[in-house]
Amino acid sequence: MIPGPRLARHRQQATLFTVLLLFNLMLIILQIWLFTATLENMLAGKPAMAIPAAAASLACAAINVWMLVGLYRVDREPDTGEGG
Amino acid sequence: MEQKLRDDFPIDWEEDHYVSRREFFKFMTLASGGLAVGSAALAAWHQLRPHERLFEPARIAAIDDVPVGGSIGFTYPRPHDICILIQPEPGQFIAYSRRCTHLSCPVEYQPEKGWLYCPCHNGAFSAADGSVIQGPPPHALPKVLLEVRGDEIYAVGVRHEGAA
Repeated sequence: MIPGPRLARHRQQATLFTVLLLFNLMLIILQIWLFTATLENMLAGKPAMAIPAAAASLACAAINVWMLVGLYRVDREPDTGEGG
Repeated sequence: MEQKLRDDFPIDWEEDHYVSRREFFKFMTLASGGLAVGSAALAAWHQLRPHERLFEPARIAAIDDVPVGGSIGFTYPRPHDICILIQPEPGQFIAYSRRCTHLSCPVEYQPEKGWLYCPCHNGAFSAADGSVIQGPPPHALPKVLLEVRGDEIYAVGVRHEGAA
């Protein structure tokens, strides 16, 4: 059985995780939109947005990586037994 | 029996769900990285691809064959690539692909307006640089690169001006 304080910590982590996952999904949808819009414009002979879109997409990916690293860091924190 | 099994092999469902969602997060981050690389590759491809291609030189006409303020048609580089050579000012020769960049209707030179006009959907391109003046064409006409050798005009390549 999971002790009470640890369970509370798990639930806290799960909430944080859900928020981060939703944000992650939102950023990916934004990236898909950027990619398709860039491709469509390039095929129509208007490639001006290619570089700004690539920069924005890289920034989204960097935020996602940062969140993932943050999650692993939270997981590695030792249980204090206080239950958050 | 079932209770004993649970006691002997306890499963931390919270932990189990958390780990699989974390794996999903990792996968989505990987997908995010892939999309970023794809977008960067598109931008790089746009920057690095050649906008100008040289082909086998082909004679178009003698200088005297092209009337000032007039035009003549030719094909380059392939037999079905229709092009138009114009002489807006004496001694100034410019050639473009004749296919409208909208739906490939052939454009015609109108010297009084200084444009190449597409009658299909009222598109017009500047005679000076091939850029779009009006109508639905999405980008400029490809320009045919010319060389004057003696008193003859040769086509030597094609430049796509659609790039920013």
